[in-house]
Amino acid sequence: MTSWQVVGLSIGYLLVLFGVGYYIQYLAGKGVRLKKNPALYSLSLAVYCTAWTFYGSVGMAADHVLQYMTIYLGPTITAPLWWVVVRKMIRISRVQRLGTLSEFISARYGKDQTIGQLVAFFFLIGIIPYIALQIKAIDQSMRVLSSGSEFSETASTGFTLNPIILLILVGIFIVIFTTRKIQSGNKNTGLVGTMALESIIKLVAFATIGIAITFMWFDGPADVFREVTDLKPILPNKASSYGEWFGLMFLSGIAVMFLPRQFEMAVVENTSERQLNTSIWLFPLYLLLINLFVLPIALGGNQLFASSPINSDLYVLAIPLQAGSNMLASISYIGGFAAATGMIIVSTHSLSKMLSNSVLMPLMINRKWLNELFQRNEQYIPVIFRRLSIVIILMLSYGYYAIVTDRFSLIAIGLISFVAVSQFAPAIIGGMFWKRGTRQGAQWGMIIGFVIWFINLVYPSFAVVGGQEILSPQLTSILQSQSSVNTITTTLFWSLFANVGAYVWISLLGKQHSVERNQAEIFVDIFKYSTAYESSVVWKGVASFPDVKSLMVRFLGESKTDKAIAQFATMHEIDVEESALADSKFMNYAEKHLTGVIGSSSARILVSSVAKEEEIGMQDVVDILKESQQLLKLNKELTKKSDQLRKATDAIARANKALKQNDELKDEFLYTVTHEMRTPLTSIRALGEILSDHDDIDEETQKHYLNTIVSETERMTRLISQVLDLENFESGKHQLTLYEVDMEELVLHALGSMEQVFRSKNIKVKADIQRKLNTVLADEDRITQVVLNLLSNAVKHCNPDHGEISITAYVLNGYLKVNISDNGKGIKPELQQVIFEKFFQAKNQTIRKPKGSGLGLAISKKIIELHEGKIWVENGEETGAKFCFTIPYKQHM
Amino acid sequence: MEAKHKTTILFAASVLGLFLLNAPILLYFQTGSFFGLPKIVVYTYTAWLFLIVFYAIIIRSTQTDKKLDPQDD
Repeated sequence: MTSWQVVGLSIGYLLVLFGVGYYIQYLAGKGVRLKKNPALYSLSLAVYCTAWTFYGSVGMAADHVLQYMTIYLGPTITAPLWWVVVRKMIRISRVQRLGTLSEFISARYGKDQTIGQLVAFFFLIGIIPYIALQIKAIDQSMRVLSSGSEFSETASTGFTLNPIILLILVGIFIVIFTTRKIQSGNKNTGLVGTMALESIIKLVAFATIGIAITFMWFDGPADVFREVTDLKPILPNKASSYGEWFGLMFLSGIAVMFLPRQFEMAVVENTSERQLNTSIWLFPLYLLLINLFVLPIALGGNQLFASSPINSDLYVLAIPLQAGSNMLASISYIGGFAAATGMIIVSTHSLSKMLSNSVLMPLMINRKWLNELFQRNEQYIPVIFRRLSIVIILMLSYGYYAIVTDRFSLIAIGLISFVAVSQFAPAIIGGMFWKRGTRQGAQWGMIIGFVIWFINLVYPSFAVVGGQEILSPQLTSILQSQSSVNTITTTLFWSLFANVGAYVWISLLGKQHSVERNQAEIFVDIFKYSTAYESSVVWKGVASFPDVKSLMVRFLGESKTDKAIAQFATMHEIDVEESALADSKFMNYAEKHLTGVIGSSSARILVSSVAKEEEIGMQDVVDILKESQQLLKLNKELTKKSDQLRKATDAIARANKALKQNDELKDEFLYTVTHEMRTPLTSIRALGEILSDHDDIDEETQKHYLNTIVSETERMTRLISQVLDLENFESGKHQLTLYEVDMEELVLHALGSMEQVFRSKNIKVKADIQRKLNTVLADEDRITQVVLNLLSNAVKHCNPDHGEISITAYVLNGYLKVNISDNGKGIKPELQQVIFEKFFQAKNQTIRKPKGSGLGLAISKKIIELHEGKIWVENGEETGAKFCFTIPYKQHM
Repeated sequence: MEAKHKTTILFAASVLGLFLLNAPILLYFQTGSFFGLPKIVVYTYTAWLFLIVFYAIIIRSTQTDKKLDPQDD
């Protein structure tokens, strides 16, 4: 490809990136909820895979075969721990509005300015070489792509774009997408979406090249690996290689949590802790996929360039170029370019916040000349500082690239940066899980760790600068010979050993300041305090409300301040505008909001400047925290009690409703019984009066009246005995007398006792009883009562002219089932449930009422239920109703 | 599921990963091939994929509908 084509490709890609960023911001503005998407979040975490992954992994695989994998296996192994570590970081950062790791560490150790500056400084030293590495990768790949099949990294034919031009374009992107809304808590959906897109681009590009190499230039994976054992052993069988393997996995497992760009994407841009659930498996899956083709490319490159070796870091580009495929080479270049720009954008953004909030802001914040310069527009100071920081970082990175990086491989620079980042792990992890960790301990631990790191890994890189030997040739050769994987893992071990040792030892010996003690408590127990943060921060002093408000207006602007104050007033149900003095809750709230814009240490300085703070004793901190914890505990207990009370109230309401229903049922029952008894009584009384008053009635009429009186009395007796029966069943007074009953005999006996009735009404009866039906355990009299009741019902309702009744009994699924059906009109579906209620006939006067008390079916239902069976009615297959009941078939042993 | 229980299971999963992908374990597969591919490469990718599936199962079975952080956006 010509140089101009490569330049066009690069600038075109950056323009597409701008467009996508804008489009995503536009969608977010329209209310499309992209930022909640866990897949987008997980993909944005893949900013971990930089140009180092794209080019360096192949280079490392070409030299050390499998060892490159440790950089991706480490994060895979530590991914489940994100639930513990990263989730806590997310919660702390959200509650305290912390936007960078330097603010995070500074906030934990008493919002101290010095430690914040130290951390920011160390991060700059550690990460700038890493950004320089990306510039180197871009520059190398541009030169190789434009040199065609000559693979020259230094010379090119025609014009070559200086990386500084690309850096300016990237800088503009960072300024546009990260410094317009600088308040922490505002999510940068455009940035997250762009990083997710870049992750997809680099994965697709790498997979395309891998597939092409594996299947176009070789005959599949087996062919690529054919000569692998002849190249070198995959893992040397030595104790030192075990150490290197474990050391690199440990290093990358830590780095993935504490690299500034990972903190930015995983913590600052997190919108819901639930997103972590998906990223714990999706991010390792991404790493697995992007690594699938590293070995084929590396081993394929080794074989293809065996006769004329080239820099193995560039195999991804060199292989397609040698095959003359400009298309594949361009895809490869874009993948590498995406990986590099993604890292530069997020790292520069994150470092610029550190530099601005932890270094520049605390130094300049109360400078009179600065305030005069901006007059009443101080809210622009954070933006100016942020943009200035971006320029400084990009310039330093370019400087490092121009002077130093030529002498190191991509993988070496990346690993050196990882070791630098790991030096923050003790202070961060200790700060979140150990309340006794002190600022002095964290500070000295980091300093000692960094000194060891610098002497072992960075100092040798400055041994020769600009062609001049700074150190003696003997010392330079000793230092340079150590820049291997072994040196890196050894340095990691000793630096962390010294760092942790100093942190623990000095912390145990030292004492915490009151603010530090307060912050330690909140950091370690953040899940307890996150809902009552303002009440948990100890603050004593006097501050006027207008002063605090004007301080907020200075850096947040009028409208944001008003909004924040209104939110506070709603949250605490108070009218803050009427108060002349700001209370401790409001002071903490104001400081939290200022932290979101200018960083924790600057916010602390500013709040102190408008308030007359009182010295807080350690006892005050302990007392307030104890009180806060007791309040939280009390609140929890109150919530629990309130829940219990609500449940009890519900239960009482339900019981009350049931009682009312029972009361209504009782009234209804009494009404129906008395109504049913009044009819025969009226008849008896009337006939009795006639017989008493009229002596002249003939004997036949007298006999007829007396028979009616007897019959009505029997009806009343029957009704009373049925009411008593039902009451006995319902109250549980009546116990069943269970013994073995021959069902066939029982049914035949019942039919026999009704024979006269059937004959008088000319009803045909058909009985089908299963043969050899064994005895069942039941109360014979009661089951007979049920059968007789159902048979008399069938007699009452069957066809008056051609009555037919059939009865069947058989065993089905462990139950004895008895069906009694007639050929009457049947029962409407809506009545099939209610006919088993007491006095159903009496309550439904519209229904044609056959002779009966209306208690027969209710009693039958009770009897069957006492036998643990069921009774129901359904319409017959042709006409009529079919009453069925089942009772457990307990066979006689 | 309680947060403490979930933490314990995830921690155990991480330890399992460290065990499966440690150098001495990988060395058991140093020699030999499987369908033309070095056994060590096949084992490493299989263990890696197994871990990912294992994590996904754990996460799915321990996921709660409850909002984790009341201040979630």
